[in-house]
Amino acid sequence: MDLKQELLTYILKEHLPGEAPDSLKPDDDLIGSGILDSLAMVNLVTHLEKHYGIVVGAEEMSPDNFGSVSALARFVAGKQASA
Amino acid sequence: MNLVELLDATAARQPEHAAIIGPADGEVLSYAQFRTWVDETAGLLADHGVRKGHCVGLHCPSGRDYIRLTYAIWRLGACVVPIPTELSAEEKMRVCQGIALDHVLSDRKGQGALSPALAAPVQRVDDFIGIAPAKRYRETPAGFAEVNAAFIRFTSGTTGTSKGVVLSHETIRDRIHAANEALKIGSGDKVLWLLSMSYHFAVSIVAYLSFGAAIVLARNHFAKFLIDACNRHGVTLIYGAPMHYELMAHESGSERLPGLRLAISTTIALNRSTVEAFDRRFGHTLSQALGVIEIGLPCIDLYMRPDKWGSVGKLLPAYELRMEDVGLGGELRRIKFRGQGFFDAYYDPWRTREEVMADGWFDTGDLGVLDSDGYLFIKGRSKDIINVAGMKFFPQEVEAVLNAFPGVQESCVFARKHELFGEVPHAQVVLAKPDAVAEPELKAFLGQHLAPYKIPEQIEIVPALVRTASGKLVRDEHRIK
Repeated sequence: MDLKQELLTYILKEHLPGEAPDSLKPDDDLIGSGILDSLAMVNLVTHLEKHYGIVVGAEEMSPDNFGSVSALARFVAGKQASA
Repeated sequence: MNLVELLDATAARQPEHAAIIGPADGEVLSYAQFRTWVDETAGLLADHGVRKGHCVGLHCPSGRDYIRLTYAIWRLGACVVPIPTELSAEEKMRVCQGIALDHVLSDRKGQGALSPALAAPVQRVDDFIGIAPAKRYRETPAGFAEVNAAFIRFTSGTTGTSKGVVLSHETIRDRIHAANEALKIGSGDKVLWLLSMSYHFAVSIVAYLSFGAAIVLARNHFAKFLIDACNRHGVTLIYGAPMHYELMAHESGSERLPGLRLAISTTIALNRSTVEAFDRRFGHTLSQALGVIEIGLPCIDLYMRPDKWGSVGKLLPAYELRMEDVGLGGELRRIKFRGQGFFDAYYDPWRTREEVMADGWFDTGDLGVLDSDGYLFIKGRSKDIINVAGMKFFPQEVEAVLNAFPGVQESCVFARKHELFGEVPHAQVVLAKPDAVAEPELKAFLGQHLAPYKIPEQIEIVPALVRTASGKLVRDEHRIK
């Protein structure tokens, strides 16, 4: 499974439990939709750090990096490549 | 006495004043509108059988609905039992089994996880929530009816031996007055709210609505949006966790927060780097409050003094502090408090405040030093709580799940420092035999039983756990490595 699909599956399972698999698209707005509240962000960042071995800095937690599943996948891939 | 009366008084005093602003643009509820909404909701809940003395499990995300449902339950003389939405399905079931609930109220999205705890199908209350009678897993404790209970927080409590902390309406009223001697919240305040309402409500939301402030709800918690919300709505006070201030301090823009009066951090000690970065970015000194579920906010450090770094501040006037010499040497003492607004009882096993505080003092279990200027420094805790961005849990809960996995012989879970969240859990595991466990399966197993923030960031396979001479597990990361 590619990174984007993995993240999509994770966010669906953790943050939209019970929703149909096609209810979240890679470019859907995670911020405006209210999916990423404070606790969701804590859970998502701890998941990224545990699962992908990256460290997310405070300055990186921005809408540019977390605004959609596609943006998140780009961010994680970039962090892994520069590690 | 009922806390709804304090809301009624505010609504009578300032009906047109904003009570709740946001989260969507242009969404403003005045005190009069909010009180009407509470009354309408109470009417609907009464139609579905909610009565005085009932315990109602509330499973709902933080927001306007959480606030109106809590007040509507109180309007009927019933007690709120938060079922945090962030818990795993299994953890939610433990709340339903641990407290004798009469009803479960849930937002429609979250009803699935609670279905085993329901005695009948969910009935629609309105577009947002449904209600169902709860299965009875236990009897209500004999003394419960004597407490005018507003909340039961299903937590292990500060001392870790009891389940469920019962807070009455009178207790919460006393708490908010005690805290407001320092915070001085009034109708001129607009408070940006950032924490989980399942864990933070009494000395915050209730205080704001009782003292006539407006609550500003953010649409999300990205720093850019928080700063924007502050300036757009004229926020005077922020109530958040260190993580929120760390994020705001590192936001790449240049907007300041000119209207800000207080930015209070709670849940876990602030890092000095966060305080300094926030000061550099906004020219504002953060405040820190010590919150204890059984007590309220006994200490607040309003303007953190550089020479008092690491202190939780000075004691509020409503509290007394006893630093008890327990033979630890130096100035280290055991921290005990007494004062107004203390918890009413532990739920299971049922123990009243008077029984728990036999000598009149509440023993926090924490160790600390009180300096000559009256600043309290907490130097250690006699318990093993792990605190991830303000969400606290005991390591034993995670160890029990790890130990239940086939092939795991024993485990030890402890806190590791984390730059953004303060702490994250880390696990060491001893296997019954080499290669007995595949880590992906073990993590998946943990994911089924625990909320994501409780899952260890790393699971280390070790030949043996570190123990003290008396055989107790060592959970101090500095002593383990």
